[in-house]
Amino acid sequence: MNQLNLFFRIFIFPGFLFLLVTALFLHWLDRKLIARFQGRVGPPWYQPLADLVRLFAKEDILPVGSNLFFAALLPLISFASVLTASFYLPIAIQSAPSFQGDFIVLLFLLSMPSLMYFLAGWVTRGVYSVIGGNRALLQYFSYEVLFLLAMSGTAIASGSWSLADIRLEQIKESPFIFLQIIGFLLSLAGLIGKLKREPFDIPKAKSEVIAGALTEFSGKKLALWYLTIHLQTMVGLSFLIHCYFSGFWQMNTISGFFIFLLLLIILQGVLSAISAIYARLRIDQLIHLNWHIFIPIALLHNIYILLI
Amino acid sequence: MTIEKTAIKLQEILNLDRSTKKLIPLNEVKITISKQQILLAVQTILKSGIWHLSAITCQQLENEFNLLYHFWKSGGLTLLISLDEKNLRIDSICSLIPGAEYYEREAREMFGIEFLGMPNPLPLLLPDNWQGGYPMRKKEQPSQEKSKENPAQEKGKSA
Amino acid sequence: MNNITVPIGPQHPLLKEPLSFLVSLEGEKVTDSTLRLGYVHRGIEKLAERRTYIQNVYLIERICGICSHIHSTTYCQSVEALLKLKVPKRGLYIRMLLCELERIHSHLLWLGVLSKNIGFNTLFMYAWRDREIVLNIMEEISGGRVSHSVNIIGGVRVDINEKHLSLLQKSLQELTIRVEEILRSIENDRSFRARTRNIGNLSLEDIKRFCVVGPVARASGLDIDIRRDAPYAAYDELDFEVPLMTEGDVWARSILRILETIQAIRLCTQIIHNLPDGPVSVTAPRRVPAGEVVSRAEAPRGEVFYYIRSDDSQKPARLKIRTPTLTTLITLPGQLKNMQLADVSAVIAGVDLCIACGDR
Repeated sequence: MNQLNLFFRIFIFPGFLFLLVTALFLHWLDRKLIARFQGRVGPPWYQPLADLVRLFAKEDILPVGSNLFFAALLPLISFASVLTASFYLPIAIQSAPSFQGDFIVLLFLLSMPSLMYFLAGWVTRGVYSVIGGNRALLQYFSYEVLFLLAMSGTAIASGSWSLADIRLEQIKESPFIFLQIIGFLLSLAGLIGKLKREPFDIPKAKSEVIAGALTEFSGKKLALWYLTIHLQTMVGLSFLIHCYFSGFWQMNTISGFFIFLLLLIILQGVLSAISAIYARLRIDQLIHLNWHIFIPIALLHNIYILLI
Repeated sequence: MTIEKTAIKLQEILNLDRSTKKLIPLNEVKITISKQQILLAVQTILKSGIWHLSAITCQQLENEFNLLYHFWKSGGLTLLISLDEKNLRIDSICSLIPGAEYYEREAREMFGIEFLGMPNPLPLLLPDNWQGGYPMRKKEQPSQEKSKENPAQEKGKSA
Repeated sequence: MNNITVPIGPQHPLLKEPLSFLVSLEGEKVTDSTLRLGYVHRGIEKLAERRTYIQNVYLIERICGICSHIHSTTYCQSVEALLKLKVPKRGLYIRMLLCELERIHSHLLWLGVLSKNIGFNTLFMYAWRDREIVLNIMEEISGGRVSHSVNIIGGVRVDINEKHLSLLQKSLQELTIRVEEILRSIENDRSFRARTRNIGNLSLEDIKRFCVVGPVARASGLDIDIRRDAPYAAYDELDFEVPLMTEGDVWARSILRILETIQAIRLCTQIIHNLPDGPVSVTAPRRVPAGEVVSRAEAPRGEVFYYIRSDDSQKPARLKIRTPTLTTLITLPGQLKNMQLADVSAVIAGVDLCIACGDR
């Protein structure tokens, strides 16, 4: 019975199936909302799934001279790291036991896809891939740091690097969204930079580098990359919700689960709105924004949290 | 200076006969000069404040080629130069008006006019491996073998 | 950092039409660039010599999709000058109406392309949605959304009735509101300015040296406009302003084109209010007497130039076309020096290339 329970939890809920379905749903929501903001109709609900199915049927070719082994390995590593990250995240239902330091492990696992993205640009040799990969690496060095710094505010306030303790602290006092609103906004900016969404999508800007590091990928490999990006969005948002909104619901309850889903949808709506409103920034403007504005504010914010 | 005054000044400086100046439709003054006078004529025009060169037209008549330089400033001024079939060489005006480069390149590849001192004598519109002669000339038929090899049939190279 | 050559074209999401643009990069900075035209060269000038004057009207319309009406206008007015024909006033007004509608269409399309290139997808969608209003009007009047084919030698082949007039009035009012809203929202938008300010600067001296025309020249301070300086059709009877800016960068060109769109809407409103009565065309003889004619008009991208020489026959002896895109193409390598790769898209969109016009 325990085996069946474990199987259910890993593969169905809150495991693979639930994660994939929610990730695709969030992606559809993103596209639909952006379309509505732009005065269009938007795709039907099954569009993300249809895109993935279609990709699986496409031919999988790479340019002469690419390292085929790594080109196949990198999307697998990215997908695996994001799935593992999702296991450590309590999505309103305790999935894996929390331990000291799982905050850092989660951040590390979530940052793997960005590193793999840069490497993917190098192994599939092509002008656009290399340029896209270089830009992605630059953005990786900047916005991962911002994400870590901003999210650390919650860890500092809880006095521990464990996700369960962060949650306990929020239940004891009040959800961090009220105490650390600046930290929340900076984390959101860091997440947009991590996910390479507009306005920080210069590594995959269609009008300049076609598709960035993923230009030469197609077929199953590209499907895995897209799945990774969708999952990364979902896990990133769940991470944010856990660290800032935890006090609002009880674990292991239906109402808690629905509040969690509602928060996911609201945050995805905020991300879509930001994508629709702003124009893409150039890479130097991006870096300037990060190191001259965001990081100093994050540092000051963390010092303030430390002192009180 | 207006077009009319510039035309009169040109006639003075280049010692042109009154018959070389004509008026053609849509407000254009046409002046016939000889090919040795082209640089001096363009300098005079630039000095009188007319800098805009609209186009350089080349055409082939029965036994000569004509080059027309069309200037404009609230009115049009065209310089007509006649070139002998056997001697299609003329000074390039790119040193005075850099914007004439594309027009001269096109006249060169379409008609075979040699512009002396042209900065960039590459074809503008025709493909790199064009073998069909000068397309705009009247008497020539476009040759059957227009390009040596079909670029699309080269072996595929990867990015 | 390493030196890479990025090929922009012939196929590239940035370009609407094929153009080969090799950009040499050092890191993210552009050091050099070379341009290669001719991918859509169809030999229009040679083809025109083998067709009659009437057949050439169909040929000339198809030089370019987005400036097709202005090409056929210039051609028809050249042949009418050779034939010494006087086109009736109503025909001239309808010609002007479609010229201005085409200008609005071209600028709205360009605005969408610029926004898409700099990553501002929302503005792209809004501009193209407003473009649909213009396309509907043009379809009602002429039967075609983009290629109208209304010019014939001697006038126009369509007439405007009451239904068209009421549709025009309603649409033009709606368009005025929308375009002014677009102008207000991007004039001070920080992200738009960040991507377009001080990018692709051209000084007044460069403009004069390279004989640049059109909005690119007017954005650097050169005050030329064929409609005002050498009026064709019936432009001398209408009242309009020619906007002028002096900054000379992509931002100035953008604002200038939107101001021109507003002026074009104003011209359309004047035309439909002052439309004279009468026939719209006169019959033209097929045989054109010997002569030469030089004719110019103001296309959405600048001065378009036609030279026709006729011998006493039904086919032209020489047809020479010079389109405004050729004048702006020559400035591209200079504009891109010391810019970043990310600015290449803004610069290319800022000069509003129409390669089909440039290649003929």
